[in-house]
Amino acid sequence: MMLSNAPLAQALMALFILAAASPASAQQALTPERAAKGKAVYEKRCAGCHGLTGQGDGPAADRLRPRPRDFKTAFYKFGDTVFGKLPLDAAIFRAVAEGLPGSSMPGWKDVLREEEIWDVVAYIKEFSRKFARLKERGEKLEPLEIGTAPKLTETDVQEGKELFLKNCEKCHGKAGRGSGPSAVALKHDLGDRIWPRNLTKGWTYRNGNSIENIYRTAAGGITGTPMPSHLESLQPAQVWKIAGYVDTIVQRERPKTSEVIIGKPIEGAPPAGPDDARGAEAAATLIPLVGQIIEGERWFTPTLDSVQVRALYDSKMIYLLVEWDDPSASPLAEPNDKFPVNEPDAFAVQLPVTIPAGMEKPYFLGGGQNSPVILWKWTNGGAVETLSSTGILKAEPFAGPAASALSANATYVDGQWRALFTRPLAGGGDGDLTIETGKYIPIAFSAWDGNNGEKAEQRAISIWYWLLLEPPTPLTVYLWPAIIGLLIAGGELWLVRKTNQHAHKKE
Amino acid sequence: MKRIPKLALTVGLIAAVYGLFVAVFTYILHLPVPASVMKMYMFFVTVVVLLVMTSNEDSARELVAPLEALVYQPRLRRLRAAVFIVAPLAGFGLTYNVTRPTLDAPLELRTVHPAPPNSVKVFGKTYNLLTLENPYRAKEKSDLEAFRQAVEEGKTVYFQNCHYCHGDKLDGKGHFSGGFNNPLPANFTDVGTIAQLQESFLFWRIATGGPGLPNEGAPWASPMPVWSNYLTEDEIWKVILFLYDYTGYAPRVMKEEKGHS
Ligand code: HEC
Ligand code: HEC
Ligand code: HEC
Repeated sequence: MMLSNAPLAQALMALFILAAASPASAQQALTPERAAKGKAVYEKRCAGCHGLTGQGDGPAADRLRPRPRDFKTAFYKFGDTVFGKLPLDAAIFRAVAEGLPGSSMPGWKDVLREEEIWDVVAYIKEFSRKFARLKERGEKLEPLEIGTAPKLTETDVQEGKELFLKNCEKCHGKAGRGSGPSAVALKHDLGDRIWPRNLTKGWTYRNGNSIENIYRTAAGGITGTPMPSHLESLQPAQVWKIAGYVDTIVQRERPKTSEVIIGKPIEGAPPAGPDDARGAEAAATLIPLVGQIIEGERWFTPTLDSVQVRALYDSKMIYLLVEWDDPSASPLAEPNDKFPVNEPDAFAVQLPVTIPAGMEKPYFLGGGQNSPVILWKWTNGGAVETLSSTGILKAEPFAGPAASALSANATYVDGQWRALFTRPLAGGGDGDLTIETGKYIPIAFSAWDGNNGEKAEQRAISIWYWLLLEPPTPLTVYLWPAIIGLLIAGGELWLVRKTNQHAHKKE
Repeated sequence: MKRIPKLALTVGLIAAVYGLFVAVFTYILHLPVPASVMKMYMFFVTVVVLLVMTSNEDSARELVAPLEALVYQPRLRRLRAAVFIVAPLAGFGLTYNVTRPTLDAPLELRTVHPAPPNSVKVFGKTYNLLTLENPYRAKEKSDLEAFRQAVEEGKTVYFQNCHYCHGDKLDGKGHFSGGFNNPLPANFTDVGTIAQLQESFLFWRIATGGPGLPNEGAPWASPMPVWSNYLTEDEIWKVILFLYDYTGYAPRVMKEEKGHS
């Protein structure tokens, strides 16, 4: 059937010969037989997202962002070629084997053998006529030249920073957190909204975060997206300098999450605001946030993926410092007409009403009918409120006599919100939490990116974590060890005396 | 041949048993060595070895002789001084290690597969879980085409609703599992989940979700949604078919269950 299509068959033959002759040993011949074998793998493993006809329209597609790749238009993002060109086979293979971190596309090398991956690569290429046409024209794909990273001096990196501010800042933002002025109005060529990468979070780079990978992306651009190739406007040496600068702001490994946020006791002046250096005295805990896909109107495509939390306290107050990256501070002063949604950004801390004595806690998602929680909610440009909640769809202004005085103070700088929640340790009364030191207190978080249209239950959430205000170390901690040490020393003396007497007697 | 000194033999024996335990756990059982169990074993081992070594007066004397020597032999003065300084410090250190405040999360135990109720009320009906069966299961033999069609529809349900947590490979590693990580979404490819369960159990779990768990299952912590809010009864049976079809496992059947009990 396939062979009756003469040009395609010829093209595939040519491809076969080319590939077979190519010295790159990993390169496999993508024959029609291969593609036919790949069909079964594809339909079982890939069609749920990429669709049976390969158009990126499987049942999951509408609830994923970025959307699964449409193999028919063949706008491959990470093809190892320059912007607008088709991808190399080896690059498609790599995407399938390793996956695209930070998206829903998993790596398949744990369930598919290398042979099977090549089969499925052959199959997905057949969804597009573009590959065959290329062969018909007898053209070959030019891989993007990377070479090796040059040695960069401090001046080079400084220069790289200036070039970054000139060429990349409008999308990726001053601090690289993806908050440039254009960031709120970017579209994929197929129409979906997309955001520039937060370059500080290396673990969300799709295509590797080594300096060579950064060079390759910056030089070649990302096909199908507004991220252009920079090889027309810049020299390779300049792009290397930019890559050298990005290399200094990227954190490669995702910080480990801890289940316990440990609050530090402080003396003297409390932190005056979210940017006060005192905040840094407490250790930071990174808490992952994911879409609320459990109740009410579900939210599958959040933009916010984590929040960093620190806690401090003194004899009267608790200071909770939260920092999260958000591509824009919304509501925007000037809403953009491409995406007119413009809700306010918001953040909420969730705590139980009383500290649970046993294992049982309120339901993690906004509490339950018989186990209410309180929320400390900050809204950009709005009030700071304490809410009572008996379910995510049932949050109301505080119901008890009076909630303890809560204040929150937030700043937005270069793609990052920092908010300082301050409240007396003592609760205001019935139904309000009194925070005690040395006790494990369940704590959870919610965040809303208004510019992404998030509101009410459509938001990013966390599960329960623990807040523990570290108590001053009690003396008994040292007392027992001291007693044991002294007992041993005493025992030794007694032994010596005993043996000496014994020896004397013997003499 | 010189005899091995009693003290060295005792210490050596205890160390050898310890090494054996660790080796069995790591290389044969492939399990982390459980600290509390280990402490208990080693306590008994030490007691037994000491009992054996001091079974008569001579051997008891032989055992403590080197220790006695350490205390009074003039030529061991240096060693004695060192041991006498180190021992109390070690006592202090070891005790501090126990009394020291640890800031780790409290240990929480949850039953992964609690006993299901006898019946469950959803979709305005009461289902008897002891007799409940998947209406599509029989079609696997009687009408394969209709069966495949139902599996395919179950796949659509799964990819629209479940893969964010349970993963598109059904391995529990969906792209939201990094946030919903305590308890982790079930890994259906593992032999410990659906391969061991009846379809009626799955029906109960899917229809009532985390909040439907009894207290030992920690209903307050499970993010598993209550699917009767979003899916029909029919869709739940189909997604169950898909889970078994994709992983290649067969559901546990009632008859087998009766035979066991
Ligand atoms: C859970 C959904 C999901 C499944 C299942 C899935 N993918 Fe993807 N895939 C995606 C998403 C989403 C993207 C786009 C990611 C992005 O744009 O950053 C993608 C992108 C890709 C790309 C494009 C890489 C590039 O350079 O542009 C290829 C190739 C690909 N997938 C192949 C496969 C194959 C082959 C399978 C099956 C073995 C598969 N995918 C299964 C979601 C999925
Ligand atoms: C017009 C806007 C725009 C400009 C200008 C821009 N980028 Fe991007 N960049 C994007 C977008 C959008 C993405 C995310 C594409 C995607 O995967 O959907 C991105 C992604 C990236 C990535 C991540 C690649 C990966 O593997 O995930 C890097 C690195 C990057 N850009 C570097 C740069 C550098 C360096 C510059 C300047 C030389 C630059 N970008 C200029 C819009 C831009
Ligand atoms: C928000 C994340 C999430 C989504 C979405 C989700 N689950 Fe779950 N599911 C979990 C978690 C976490 C567990 C383990 C805790 C528990 O047993 O409740 C679980 C457990 C289960 C179990 C019990 C397995 C066992 O061994 O006892 C079944 C069956 C199940 N899920 C099926 C589904 C189906 C079918 C869907 C889609 C219709 C789905 N889940 C969607 C998070 C999710």
